[in-house]
Amino acid sequence: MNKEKNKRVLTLIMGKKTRLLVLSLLLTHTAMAQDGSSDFFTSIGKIYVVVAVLLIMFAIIVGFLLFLERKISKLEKQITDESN
Amino acid sequence: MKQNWYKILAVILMIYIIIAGMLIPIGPGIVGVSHGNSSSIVAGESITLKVNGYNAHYTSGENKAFLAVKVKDDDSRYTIAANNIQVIDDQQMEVTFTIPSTSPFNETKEAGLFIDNELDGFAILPSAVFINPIGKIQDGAKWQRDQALNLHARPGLRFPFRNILIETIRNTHYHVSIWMAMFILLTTAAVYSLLAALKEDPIYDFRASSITSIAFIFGLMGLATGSLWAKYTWGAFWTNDIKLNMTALSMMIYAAYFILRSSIPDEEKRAKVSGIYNVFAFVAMIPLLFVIPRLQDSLHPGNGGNPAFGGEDLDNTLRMVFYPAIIAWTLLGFWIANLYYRFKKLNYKYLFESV
Repeated sequence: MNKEKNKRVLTLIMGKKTRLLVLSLLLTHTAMAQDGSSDFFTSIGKIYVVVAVLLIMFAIIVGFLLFLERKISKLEKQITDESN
Repeated sequence: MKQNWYKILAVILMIYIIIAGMLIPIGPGIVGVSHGNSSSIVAGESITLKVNGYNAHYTSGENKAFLAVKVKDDDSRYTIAANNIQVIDDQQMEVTFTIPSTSPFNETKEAGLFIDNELDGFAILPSAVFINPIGKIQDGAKWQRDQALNLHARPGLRFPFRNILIETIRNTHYHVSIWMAMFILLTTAAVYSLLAALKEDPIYDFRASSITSIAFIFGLMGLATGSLWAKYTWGAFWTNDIKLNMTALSMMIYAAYFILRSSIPDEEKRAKVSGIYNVFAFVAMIPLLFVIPRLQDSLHPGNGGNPAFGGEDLDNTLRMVFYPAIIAWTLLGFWIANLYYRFKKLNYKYLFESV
């Protein structure tokens, strides 16, 4: 029971974290937009476009790993439930 | 340890492509020139161009500037040297040209600007200005025909400067190589799918579907990163570029693969049906990604009717990072696919063998 509760809390935090990440990304984007529209991404020879590209790739890979983790946790839970 | 060699290689190459891909500087170039109100000069007048350089060192070393016009009739290049160069700072200078009153061409021609610096080597801005000769043609004009410009070579390890792209040329290692990796992954997935359709063993289906999943994720990464880049290069997140639409189409074909899989509850049937579908999807993808884009012009850099990289577009410094990048992304893809495959195998074992 305790384990299950822990897991639920964990997923709740995870959800919150991702929500926070998305929110902060959105906020920084709007903040960037306020000081001179697309100035941030076009500054220094558009180097921040490359940085953003790397971040997007990292985020999508992490997203896939989280998807995998959830599947594995589900299987783990099934196995432990059965053996109990 | 033996079966982990490719993971170690993937990590090493990943570190290499991120460090080298981000830290090798872009060679010097000319971002643009500004001059008066009109973009064309009339022969016989003089013009002062304010040159905006990138990664240049105009204050150190000797600078030379030329305007060059290509004339197709006699297939030669005519140049004039600047009569005054005034360096403002490292990235800015003012160059004054006096266009001779007689020209070797009789219609308005675009002239490229060559800036040569002792330290940085040369940089070219194509179509910097337009020269209107007002119909005067005379031989023996002051334009120098096919003159050797004695330009300095670009020193050191640098990515080439391309106008508009500038620093985003580094996306070659991230955005472009992810597509190549996706294609390699999908090829292996198609082979496993064929095996899954032909053989009874369920592990082929697990291999095929897990590799296809990560390849699909790579495709999404390619679309997302390309879309962001397009916003700051072409001005819109999505354009009607042929490559974009054809890729979106093949991504949808692969999305249907996952929908098809989830709609068949029977394991054996799913392996056969989705295996055959995957082979068809792969066969459909080849014309969509490799044939149709070649029949039309694409906005993509390096595309002029033919999307293959020409010698001009991918220089050796880019290749030094680009090829390892393809290997790095492919190995990373196989690594993640392997995790997914192991999960599928365990899941199958649990569902069918322990009961």
